[in-house]
Amino acid sequence: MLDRRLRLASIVVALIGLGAAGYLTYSKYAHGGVCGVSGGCTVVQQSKWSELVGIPVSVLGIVGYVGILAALAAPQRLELVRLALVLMTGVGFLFSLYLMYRAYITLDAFCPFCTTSAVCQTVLFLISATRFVVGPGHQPSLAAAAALHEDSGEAEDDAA
Amino acid sequence: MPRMPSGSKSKQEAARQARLEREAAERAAAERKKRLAILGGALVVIVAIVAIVLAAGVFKSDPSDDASETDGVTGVKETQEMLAGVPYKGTVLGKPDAPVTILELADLKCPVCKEHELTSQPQLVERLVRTGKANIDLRLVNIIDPNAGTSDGAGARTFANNLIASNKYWPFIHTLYFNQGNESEEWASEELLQRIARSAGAGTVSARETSATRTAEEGADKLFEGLQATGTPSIYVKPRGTNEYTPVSSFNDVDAIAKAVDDAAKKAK
Repeated sequence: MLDRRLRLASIVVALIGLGAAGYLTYSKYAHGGVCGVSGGCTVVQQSKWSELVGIPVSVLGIVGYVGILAALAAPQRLELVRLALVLMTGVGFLFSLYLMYRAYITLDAFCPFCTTSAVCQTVLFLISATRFVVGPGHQPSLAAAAALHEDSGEAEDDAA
Repeated sequence: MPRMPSGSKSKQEAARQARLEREAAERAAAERKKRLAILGGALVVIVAIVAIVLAAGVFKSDPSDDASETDGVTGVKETQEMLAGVPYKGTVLGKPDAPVTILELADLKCPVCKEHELTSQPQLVERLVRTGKANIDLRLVNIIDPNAGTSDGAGARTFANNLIASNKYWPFIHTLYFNQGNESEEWASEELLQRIARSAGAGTVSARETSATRTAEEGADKLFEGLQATGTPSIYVKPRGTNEYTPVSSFNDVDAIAKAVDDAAKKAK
């Protein structure tokens, strides 16, 4: 039950992050990358840290969120899927942390959409790590299931 | 089959239940321990991936990074190279009677203007200005200061406009972009501006507003508002003898500007 809730929360958070990254990408292209349109976000988006190998980091953000959502849609019992989620969200979290450092300390700029995405990555990483360590839900072990089965059998006997 | 006394049976059952629970808990703890170890390994991989990306320095490069430095001023040589042999007067670079005027509205604190000035402008000068196809009229607006909560942009604009009369406006502006600081910081000190002006061949420049600088500022602001520009840099082409400004949205696309100039040239009078 807990795992399902955490998975649902991850999907919601990833969608919020996708929205923020999508808006940043839209604003970068729609405004033609000019100065003076949206304050802090423009400062961040025009900085040298706004592109990685020529690709805007907001586009990389979209790719990342889509990947996370795809992993969340995959069968969650597979440990590899959960590990992939940890790796994806972990890289996103650490990279966001670095970009936040550049935005707030180096550029002294407040970009609400960048911050939203960074918060989403942090939450996603924490949830993914927790889900990975806790394991795939509260599935009763075989022994516990056997005990449960016997219990119910005896209850039937007693009733008879 | 004889049934066991219910008290003994329930005790036995309770013990069995406790054993099963203990075993399940032990298994869960062992699994958790294993997953924690995997998580630790994953964290190492994550840190390694991000560290490699950051160390590789694959972020957008700054066009002023590789520029030359002369007496503490960056880009003097590059500016001289770009302007060599090209006439400039006041705010206009190139032949005053060129068939097309490229109007550029820029802010000295705007990082995108810096990128345009240092990467696209030299190409525009080579392709369009030197060939006499167009001239460039660069006007300064001040839109970063109100957004960034700074005031040095206004001072830098006044300083630059004070160089129009002495015809050092273009070398000053191009060199200044090489030395541009962070737009959210007050980097355009008078000391730096004077140093850049000296490198551009000017003497000591007044940083004070005059009627001439006010006229230049009002003219640029009027153009910015009249053309409904939303940011900087904003590029327009205007055929000679007309007052028809056509915006070029792809300001960093030299081919697009060249095409706009060719189109505008057909309407020149």
